Amino acid sequence: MTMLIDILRESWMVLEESAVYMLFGFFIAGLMNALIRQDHVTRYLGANRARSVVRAALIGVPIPL
Amino acid sequence: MVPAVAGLKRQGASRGAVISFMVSTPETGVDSIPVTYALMDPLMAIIRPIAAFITAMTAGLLENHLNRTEEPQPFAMAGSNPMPLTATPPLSHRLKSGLHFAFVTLLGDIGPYFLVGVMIAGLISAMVPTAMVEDYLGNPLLAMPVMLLVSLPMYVCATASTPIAAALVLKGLSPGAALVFLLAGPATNAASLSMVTAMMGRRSTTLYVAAIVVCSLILGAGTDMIYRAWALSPVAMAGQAAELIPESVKLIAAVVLLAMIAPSMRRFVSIKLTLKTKWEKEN
Repeated sequence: MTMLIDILRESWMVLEESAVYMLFGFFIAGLMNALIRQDHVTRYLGANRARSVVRAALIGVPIPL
Repeated sequence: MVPAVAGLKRQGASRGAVISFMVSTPETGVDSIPVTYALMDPLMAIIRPIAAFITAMTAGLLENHLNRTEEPQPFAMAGSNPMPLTATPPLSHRLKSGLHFAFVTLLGDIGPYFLVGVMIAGLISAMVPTAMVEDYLGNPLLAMPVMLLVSLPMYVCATASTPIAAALVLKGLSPGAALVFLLAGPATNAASLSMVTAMMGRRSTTLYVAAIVVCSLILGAGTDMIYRAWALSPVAMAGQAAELIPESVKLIAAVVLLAMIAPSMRRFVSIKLTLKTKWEKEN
């Protein structure tokens, strides 16, 4: 029983440490969704094979999921 | 993610670009980077997206290089193929729907997994003795392959992997081995691999996994070298970001976050139960 309480207490501490940053991250995700149009993103990749790879890698970094 | 990849293919992006996108998208995001900063340290919050970018680029360039024979796909050139431009709704509407997407749809998808990650982190903190991690995983040369083996089958997203990695680092896991888990965990699991196979074929899937395995090991080793060269202690640095925030704000944020995830938690549990009973019926 004390073990379970220990686990829950540790988990709650992790949640408290990260919650502000989680909310901030999802707020940024919301702004991105509002301000960036998906068709613009895909068009930005361009026709150059090597450059399109680099740009696709770059675009994927901020996108969640 | 599937619709975004389908969109890329439709626009005629090279196979390499699609593979590249399918590596960097699950490995990091604007949600997991702040959480890495909060639970780990600022250096890891910088290394993680850079490592994801390098891994994605490697996988994509290799894919294009090995599939040279393939006919270049027709490209929708800017201007030559004007998309039917729908009138852009006003900013306030877009903000409203964007935030709804982030805090309802996205948080509903990711949140339950994040809470599971938080519980696993709590379990590790409370139950795993420090000596155990140091005894078995103290040697990074052993720890990195072990973390890789754990990562491959594990179904974990970038955000949910962060508390788990942070808890292991606090128990003495090297930051490089933690990075291996942060990179390979979200990018290689049954769900993402079956999607890559369905969209790109077997051969590209093998290349996708190989690029992630090789890059994460090399980047993990490089990360350990950086921490050693700068004499940085990941344990001492962990969680310092949270100390900047007043206790009351942390408490309110935790309650708000929990309240926002709770509705999808019910759905999450019921989906898991349905899958389980379905599986039991079929077997």
